Amino acid sequence: MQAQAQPATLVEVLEQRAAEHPSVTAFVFIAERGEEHRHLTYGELRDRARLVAASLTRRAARGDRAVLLFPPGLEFIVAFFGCLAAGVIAVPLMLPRRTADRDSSAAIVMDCSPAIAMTTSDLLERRPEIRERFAGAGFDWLLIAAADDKPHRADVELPRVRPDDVALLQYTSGSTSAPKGVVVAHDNLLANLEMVRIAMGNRWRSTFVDWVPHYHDMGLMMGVMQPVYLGGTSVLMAPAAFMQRPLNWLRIIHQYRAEFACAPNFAYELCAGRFRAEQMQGVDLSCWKLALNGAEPVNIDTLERFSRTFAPYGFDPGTLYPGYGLAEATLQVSGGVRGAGWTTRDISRVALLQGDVTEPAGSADRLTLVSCGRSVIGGEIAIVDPDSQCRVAPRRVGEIWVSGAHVARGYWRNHEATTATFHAQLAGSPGQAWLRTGDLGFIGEDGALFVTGRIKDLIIIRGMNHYPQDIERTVQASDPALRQDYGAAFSIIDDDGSEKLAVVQEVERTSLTRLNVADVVARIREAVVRQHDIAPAVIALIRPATLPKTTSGKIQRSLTRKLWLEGALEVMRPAADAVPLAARSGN
Amino acid sequence: MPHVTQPEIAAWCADYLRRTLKLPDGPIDVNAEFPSLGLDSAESVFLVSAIEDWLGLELASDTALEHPTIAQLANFIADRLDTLTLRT
Repeated sequence: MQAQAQPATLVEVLEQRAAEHPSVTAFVFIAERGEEHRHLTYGELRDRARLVAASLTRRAARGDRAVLLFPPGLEFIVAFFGCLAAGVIAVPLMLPRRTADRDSSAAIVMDCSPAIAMTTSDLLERRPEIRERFAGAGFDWLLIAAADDKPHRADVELPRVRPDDVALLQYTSGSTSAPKGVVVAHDNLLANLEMVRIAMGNRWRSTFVDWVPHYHDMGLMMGVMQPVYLGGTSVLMAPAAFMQRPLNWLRIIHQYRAEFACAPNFAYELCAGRFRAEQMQGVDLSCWKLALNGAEPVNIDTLERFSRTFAPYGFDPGTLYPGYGLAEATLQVSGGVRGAGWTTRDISRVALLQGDVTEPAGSADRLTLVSCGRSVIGGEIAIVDPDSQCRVAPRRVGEIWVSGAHVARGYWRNHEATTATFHAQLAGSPGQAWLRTGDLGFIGEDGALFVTGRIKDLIIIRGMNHYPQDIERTVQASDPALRQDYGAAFSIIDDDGSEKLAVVQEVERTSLTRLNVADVVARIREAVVRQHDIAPAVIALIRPATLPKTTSGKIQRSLTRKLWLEGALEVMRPAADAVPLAARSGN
Repeated sequence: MPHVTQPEIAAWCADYLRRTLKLPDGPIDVNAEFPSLGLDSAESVFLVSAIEDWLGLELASDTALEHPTIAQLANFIADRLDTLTLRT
């Protein structure tokens, strides 16, 4: 790639790139309407990051945490590399939503006890309540400007960052109860950046386009770190700008002749669904060489629809690259072959229920799975029986375990969860630590991984992870008629193949007689939308003592899900003449 | 610029929300905040896009978060119909 010594930290990566080509554009941010382009060259990024690092070292010690609360834009990039250069652990966070009175950010701040919070002065002016939210947290604010006057070189002594220093904490889901921050060290980052480069065949100095949020593991890795690793240019657009005009994503890929762009499955679906020929005029996608589809289950119908829709605009279906990964493994665990598109496998739905991988008995029994490809080089995948902790026989489904230099250090200051998740051992072969992913799958004859489901209680909607416990707590707090600790949140697959939220909740015995089902359902819906920003597709109220629990009192979410799907739960119906809350006093 | 009135915009939004959120038939409270209707932030951006397509104008993606009821949103758009940028 280049003649210099192989960098061992991300700080060295940026220093090398800035020395090699200081005037090459590292990042471009395209504002919402596409009119306001801002740039950062490698030289500017290094200089601004050093300035930030200099002010950080005056306020925080090495190894302290800094939470990064940024709107989309280049300020985050400067703050992030500033943290790294100062040896301060970066904690990227989603901005708290205005409608949520409590959300994951407060719990994460409690968990990682930051010394500093970084943001922009503009954001604090527009949203003064953000400062108030964290008034009791005891950290200082450091305001970041991405571009003002020309930066001067900061001649300060910065600490020498080592490969085993922690670079960042990745909080992967918006847990309000027990957030877990994945501890990612520089050597994890460098290992996975190289694995990604080889697996995807990403080229030196190529151009990336990204709208996936910077606080998301895929957005941070593929929109920020991999481009810098390759000395390339990353063109960033705001997530909301993508949601508003998804075809602009494709237009920007075209305009910048980008080779790489990634997104969760729903985004490819959204583009195909919002296709307008007049908005695609003049767009030529033949430059696009790798379209990573990850962060949520990959749907075959989406891949086909996207390819069909955009092939007339030069899109090569071979570009689509399904992948599997998780923040606990820095990012990528497995993936396809550059340019080769996707491969599928038809299996029996009935046999899968028993954990067997067999040929389908007929078209009704056929389930088409998309392959997530082979393990990245340097990583290992094992399919394991979670009970016996032995590898399963071929053609059996088991938990996906991962080993390699990309597996992160553990969960921040959470010994118990770290041991359970990161230090698993295969029965009979001690000594090698394995990461338990909580996902289920099997490995085909050609070594390719197929993901079939999950054993962990996790709900993934539009690429974002949600813990059921948090949603259940919100549901139960929304109305006194609801029974504490007797509710289950789980995901169901909608008609369009996407994951949706379902909530099943018991009603208090004392509230049964005067219950207005429609009102309570409306309150639950509003509370879940405000707190978690997802609208439940199903809200089912059930009578007391009908929710399945284990003998030790644990909620059986997957059994509840099964009973609901089979129609075996007796759901309370609203009275025929009841008018939903929101529909009252309408005009 | 198409000539539409505040009540027409409000009626259009109510109809859109009824269809996309599968709300029961019948009137929708134009003063209900969007989260109470089950509109999350992604769906609120989709609502803005749909209005843009309908009226052929440009709106900020957070318009429905800033004006979080049907009445407020319709007011905002109706008041600015003459000044909002036409989509090219």
